[in-house]
Amino acid sequence: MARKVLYERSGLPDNHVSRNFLETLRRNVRVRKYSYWSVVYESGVVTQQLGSVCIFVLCWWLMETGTLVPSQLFTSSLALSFLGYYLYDVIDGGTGRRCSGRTRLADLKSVLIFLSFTYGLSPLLKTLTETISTDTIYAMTTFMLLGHLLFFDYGANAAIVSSGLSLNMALFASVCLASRLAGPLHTFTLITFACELFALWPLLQKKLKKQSTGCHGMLTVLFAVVVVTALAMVAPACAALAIVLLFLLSFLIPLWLVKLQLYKDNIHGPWDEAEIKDDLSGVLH
Amino acid sequence: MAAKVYFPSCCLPAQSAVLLGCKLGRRDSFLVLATMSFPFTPNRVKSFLASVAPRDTPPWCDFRPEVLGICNVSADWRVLDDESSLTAHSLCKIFNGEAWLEVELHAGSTSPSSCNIYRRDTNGHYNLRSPRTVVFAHYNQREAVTVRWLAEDSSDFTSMEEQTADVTKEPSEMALFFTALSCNEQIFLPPPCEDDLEEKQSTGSSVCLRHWQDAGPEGSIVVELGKAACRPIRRVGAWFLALVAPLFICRLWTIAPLPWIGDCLSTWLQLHHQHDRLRVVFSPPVVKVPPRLTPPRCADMICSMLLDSLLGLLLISHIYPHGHLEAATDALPVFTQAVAGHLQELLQWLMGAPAGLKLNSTLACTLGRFFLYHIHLWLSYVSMLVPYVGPVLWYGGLLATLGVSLLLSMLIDITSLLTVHVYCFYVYAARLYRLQVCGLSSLWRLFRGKKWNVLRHRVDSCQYDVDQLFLGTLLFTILLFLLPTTALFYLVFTLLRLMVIGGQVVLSRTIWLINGLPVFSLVQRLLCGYNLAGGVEFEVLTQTSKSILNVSMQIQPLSVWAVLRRFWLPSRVMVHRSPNPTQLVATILSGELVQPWYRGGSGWG
Repeated sequence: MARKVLYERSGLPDNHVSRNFLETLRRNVRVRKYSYWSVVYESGVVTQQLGSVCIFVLCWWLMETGTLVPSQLFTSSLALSFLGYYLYDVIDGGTGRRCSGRTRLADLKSVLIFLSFTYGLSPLLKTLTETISTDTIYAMTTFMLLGHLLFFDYGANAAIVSSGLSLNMALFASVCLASRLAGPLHTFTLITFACELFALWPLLQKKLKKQSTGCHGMLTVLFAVVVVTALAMVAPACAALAIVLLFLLSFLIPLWLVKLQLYKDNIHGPWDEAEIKDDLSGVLH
Repeated sequence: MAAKVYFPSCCLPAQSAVLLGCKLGRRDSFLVLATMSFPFTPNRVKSFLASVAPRDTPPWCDFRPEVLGICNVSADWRVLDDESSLTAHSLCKIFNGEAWLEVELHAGSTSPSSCNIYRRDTNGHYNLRSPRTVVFAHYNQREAVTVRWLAEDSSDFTSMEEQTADVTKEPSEMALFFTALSCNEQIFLPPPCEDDLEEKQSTGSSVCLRHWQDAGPEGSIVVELGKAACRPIRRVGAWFLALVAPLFICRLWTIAPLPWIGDCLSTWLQLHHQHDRLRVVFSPPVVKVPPRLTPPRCADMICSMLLDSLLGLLLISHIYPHGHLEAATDALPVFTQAVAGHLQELLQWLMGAPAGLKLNSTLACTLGRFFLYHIHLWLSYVSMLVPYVGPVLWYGGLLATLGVSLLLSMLIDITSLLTVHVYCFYVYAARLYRLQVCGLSSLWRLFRGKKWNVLRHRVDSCQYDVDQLFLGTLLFTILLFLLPTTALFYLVFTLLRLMVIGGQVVLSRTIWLINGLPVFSLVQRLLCGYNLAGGVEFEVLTQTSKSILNVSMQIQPLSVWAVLRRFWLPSRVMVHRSPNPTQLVATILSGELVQPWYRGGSGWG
């Protein structure tokens, strides 16, 4: 058998392939077997985020048509925020806060920054896109929200994930939409709402998911129901579309994933490039 | 290697003669300056040679004239066969040079039939050393003596002295040739005056030389008068300069803002420039403090100044009697009003929807009002300035007697003062635009969740806080949507500013042209081109025997372009190299201020 040492002369030709070369072939070393229901459960994150985006756009639409008064949205979202803030601390018994070392004063400062800047800049934001055509704004918003969904941190460890970028795109979209509304107060409310929905809610959502499995499932169902009913009230066709989309996301695509696992065929062998193990202490000493 | 003999074509002897001249460098090259016919006594010759030896021979080469050899004309050779051969052999012993030339010539012919070169060995014997070929170059002595050798490898006499340290670089043979000629020009001068002539006849009449004879200074009475007037003029000029000098070297000009202001004013720079030139021209020849110039360079400078003043006087004689100045002064308020009107129209247009662009109307309105207010300010500034413009123009116009360039630089300054508003508009818009662009570029990184790593000079990913992201995105959105408006204002004002700069660049180019034009050299080149030699050309005449090549040497004049490049006079209000278009566009896009590229630097660059 040829030793795999390139710096020694082995007496064999360069293109020599030993007879037992393929004996070391291994297949599908790192393939995970998914169970269908666990995948369905995990897909809830995507459903929830899609739900958030839908709710945001719905709120904007309601405000644009005048059905939703800014004060209503502001008070309700503020109440929900306080509830969320309370839950965020209670749910893990305050260990998360102790670990991060973040004081309540810092939280208050952040809230003040959010509110004061949004309030101060809302008249400016209101007139910002006046001369730009509505279609351009809609296109830009759609593009930005899709980008938000694409780059959102769903818990997967991939290069494309960038929570900062996804948050920024959502905020950009919210500013674009808010500048179309009737008055500065509308703008202020919508941007505050967007901030709560896209910046604060995912933090709580992540913690909830970590603490209890049942809660996450319930939330997913709740989001789906709220989105569908709200859409049914505004635009039935959209509601139907949403139902199809949610069904696809929650049930069909996980099924597809599980089925496709069967066709996975990864081969590993001595030709693989060298892998550096994280723990070098055993090698070095 | 071929030996070379440079022979003046005007002194081919009719009978046997001795050759006077010098060797050129270490090579087998001989420059014949004159021929001396028999009879003579060796002592007289030696004393004559000592009397014409150049005083200021350069240290890197010896150009003292000596007896180079003999030229036998064959017709009388037959008659005096024994005697002359005896003479030839004894002559080389007498004069005891390093080498001895023997040229044989048929009577009436211009090309020698043979040429032998003897070299002295260590024992003092002369051995025949015949090179493969001897190039016999006939040169026109009249042209060659008056020439200024200006080929690429040559330089002025002073710098040649500096070059002595650089032993490895030997000057070219042509440079040696012309230096040797100019060193020995005393031979060609006629006897200084009548008395000396008589004396010379008594002492040195036995030396009968044949060479080109300079007509001498009596040739032109104007030159004589000029020479006589030179000294008093220089003295008066120096006196006048000493009177003015405190104005320029005063300590006051070193106090903090004044040097800066002076550098900004083209008129001041131009005044300084003229003063420097006068100082150079009027300084006594011994003093070396302002760099002494060679006479032709000085003549260039004087001529360019005279031309400058002449143009200025012409302009004055045209402007002052016809009342153009008053008309200009009267037209100024009307003109500024018209310009202000146009600018207001432009701003109104920008405040609307210019060219159908979707600007942010609120911001456009704000900026427009801001700039309208500036126009208002500028109008009051101009109305304050108008009463003074007339006298300033009237008295300042008199400066044109010192040169039209001074008037033009004053015009540049007046333009700068009158277009302060354009400059202000441009600077405000540029600062705003730059702020916005810089903010956008850094917020764009924040938008993507990255940041600039100062330590590693690269963009790194970074974990931002939620409130940082929120604020950053908010500002990013605002800046992005406001950018077109700012950019349009910036673009319009940049164009206005570039127009002003363009006008000033044209003016300063003209000044540079007037200041730098080497009038004297140019006229010299145009009238008698051979005076400025850029090279020589050898034309083969005949090949009399296998070993002798007859060529005639013609001096090639320097091209006009080369004359301009070589003699261009330095100027204070220099035109810097204008920026290349891509660089200019990059500067404009990045929002940096476009500096006017006609500003002056140091004087003698």
